[in-house]
Amino acid sequence: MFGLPFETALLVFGFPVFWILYMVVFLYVSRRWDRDSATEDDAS
Amino acid sequence: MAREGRLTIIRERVDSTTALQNVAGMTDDVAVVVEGSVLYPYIAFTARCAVPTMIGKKEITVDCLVDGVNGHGATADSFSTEQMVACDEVRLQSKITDGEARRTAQRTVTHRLGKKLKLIAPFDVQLEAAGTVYKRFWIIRIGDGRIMADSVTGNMHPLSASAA
Amino acid sequence: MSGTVIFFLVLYYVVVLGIGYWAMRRGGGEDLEGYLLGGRQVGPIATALTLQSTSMSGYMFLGAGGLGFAQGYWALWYAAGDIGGGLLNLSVIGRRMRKMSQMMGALTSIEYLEKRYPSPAIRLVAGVLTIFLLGFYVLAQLIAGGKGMALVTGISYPLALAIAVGIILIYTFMGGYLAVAYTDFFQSLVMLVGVMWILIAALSELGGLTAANTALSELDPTLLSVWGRGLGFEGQWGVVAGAILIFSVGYMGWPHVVTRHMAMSRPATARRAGFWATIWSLFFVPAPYLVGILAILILPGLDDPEMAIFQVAGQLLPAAVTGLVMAAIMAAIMSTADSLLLQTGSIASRDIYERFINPRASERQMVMVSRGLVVAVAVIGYVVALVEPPTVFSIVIFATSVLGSAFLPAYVCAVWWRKANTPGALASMIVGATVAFVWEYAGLVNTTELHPMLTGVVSSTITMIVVSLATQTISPVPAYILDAMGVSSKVGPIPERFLAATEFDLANEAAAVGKAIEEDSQDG
Repeated sequence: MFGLPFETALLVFGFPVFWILYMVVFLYVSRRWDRDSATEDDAS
Repeated sequence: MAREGRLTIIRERVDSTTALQNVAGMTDDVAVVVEGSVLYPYIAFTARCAVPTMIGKKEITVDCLVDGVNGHGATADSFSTEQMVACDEVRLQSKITDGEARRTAQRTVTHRLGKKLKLIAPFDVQLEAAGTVYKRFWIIRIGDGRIMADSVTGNMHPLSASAA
Repeated sequence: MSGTVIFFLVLYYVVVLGIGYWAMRRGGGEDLEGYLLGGRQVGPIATALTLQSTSMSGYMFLGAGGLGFAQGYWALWYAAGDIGGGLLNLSVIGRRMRKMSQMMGALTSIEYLEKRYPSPAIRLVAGVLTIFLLGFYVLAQLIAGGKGMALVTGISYPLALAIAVGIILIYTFMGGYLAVAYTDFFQSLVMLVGVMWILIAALSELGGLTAANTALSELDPTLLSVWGRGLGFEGQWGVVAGAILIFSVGYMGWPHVVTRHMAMSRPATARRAGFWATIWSLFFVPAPYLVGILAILILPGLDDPEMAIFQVAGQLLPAAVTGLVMAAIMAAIMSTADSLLLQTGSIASRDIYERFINPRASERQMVMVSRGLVVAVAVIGYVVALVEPPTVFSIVIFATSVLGSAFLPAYVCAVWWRKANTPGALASMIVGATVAFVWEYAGLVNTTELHPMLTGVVSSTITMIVVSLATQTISPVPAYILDAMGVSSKVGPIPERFLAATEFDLANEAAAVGKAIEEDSQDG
């Protein structure tokens, strides 16, 4: 892949993929953290 | 300072109906009702600061409120107040002395401004005491729990579970 | 560097100064005050840009590029952890720490530690450690600034260094007022475009990534290996582990990172910030390392690896663009140095001087202490940078290892473990810092093939656990702290949507109001 040996390709692409997955999981687990925009606009 | 049962409270921008509407808008299935309100004490100061910049001194005015219950300070957006007659609603008592409050205000303003402006040069902070002001929080029952809503910003915070 | 570059570099500063001057002249009192003091949200993109712009400093432009040039793809082990560092910290600690710091009324990260682990010793140790290591980080910026300036202007390094230090000191003493409001965003934008431009230019110069990698492997196949040039790190998982940990958890030790958590307005902010931080990091963390790697082919005769990115820019970008980008980079470095110096000064005056030496200190006296320390750090930094400058890379790795090892368990356990007590925290800070420090200084990395960050974090974590458990009875965690930690779980049956809308700033009021209402209903 891009002329890289397998382990290097794993390093280059593996970690970003891991962190993207982590982010997706985090966003899912914290999905209720998002405020209703209505309340936020009223507040200021 | 309260005078003959008159209190200074921060002029509210969110009344009980609006607060209730905000809360109701976030939930369909639980009963919500305004139970009342609580008055929370702050010791208010106005700080006039002469801040050094590359083109001379700039005057910045900052309002600072010191929490009357636990003594923590915070800078505040400008607010207006009105007088009202003390009545039956729950009012927390201020436990902080004026001296403590003044020191806290000095430190809070200096710290906050210094940090935001990335300043190391000393600047004058003139504090004017503005007495004790109260802010009203609406107490809203949601199902079996309670939250409070800030009558100035509309912001909310849950209240810890009570016995009933 | 050509005259065009210098012209545009100077032009950049003139424009920035002009913006700042116009902003102040305009008065704009209330807008500016509101922005500065009210902490109004500027919008998610601008917020994300300013959040990440503090990470753009000497390390990114010199350290990362230099490592890529020296070791090839091995360098990306450091990027591996870095990509997720912001997200990791926000997701694990962000929200809880914000709540705790509000409940305890802590203004700074070190004050926060003392309030969670009540003891003057905590403040002293944390304060001294942080000042000492922030000094190293400042040194890294000074070297970066001096070298960059020497490269661009062609003047000698000692003189360039003196000018860089001078500018940084002026910046610090006069107030970064100019940079704060209007120019941060502009600067970040220029750097962003600049970094991407450099990378794309380098790739197109070499005919694409595959072609570049093929050329690299013809030069020396080990450059593409995960074990470094000449397979120097082959099988050294202990070093690899350290590399990954450094910029994922090592950040915990840095006050400016931790303080960001303390400024969060509500839980949704953590979520949003975590998202943007990751998106940003995915693109910008690997970029400088990659440019360094590609520089192996573009600048084969380069003698200072840490100048790789600057030289590539000089070679491949139009002169005007180079000037602007270099200017933005220099400004970022100086702004970082300025922030670091301010923090150092503030810790010295508030956490050390006022707390331990002169509790009745006036604001003026504290400012004197601040200034004194800032000048001292700058002078010492100048001398070291001049006489025997270490690489920016080695300095930053060292400082982050020690700070991260010292503070990681303290910050994490502060919000997650109810048994983490003062002796545990104190011991873990001392052990972590010492192990990391000694490991680095005695060169134990080479004999043990274990990274100082790894050994430091492991030893500080074990120490926290063992000592806290052993001293539970003689030094239990005070009840009010347990309350603060457990506040959210004591909240009654309230739908989760409301928990998300919790405004952290109201935590104290809510606690008092909740109690008052209970008492009132009991009174009947």
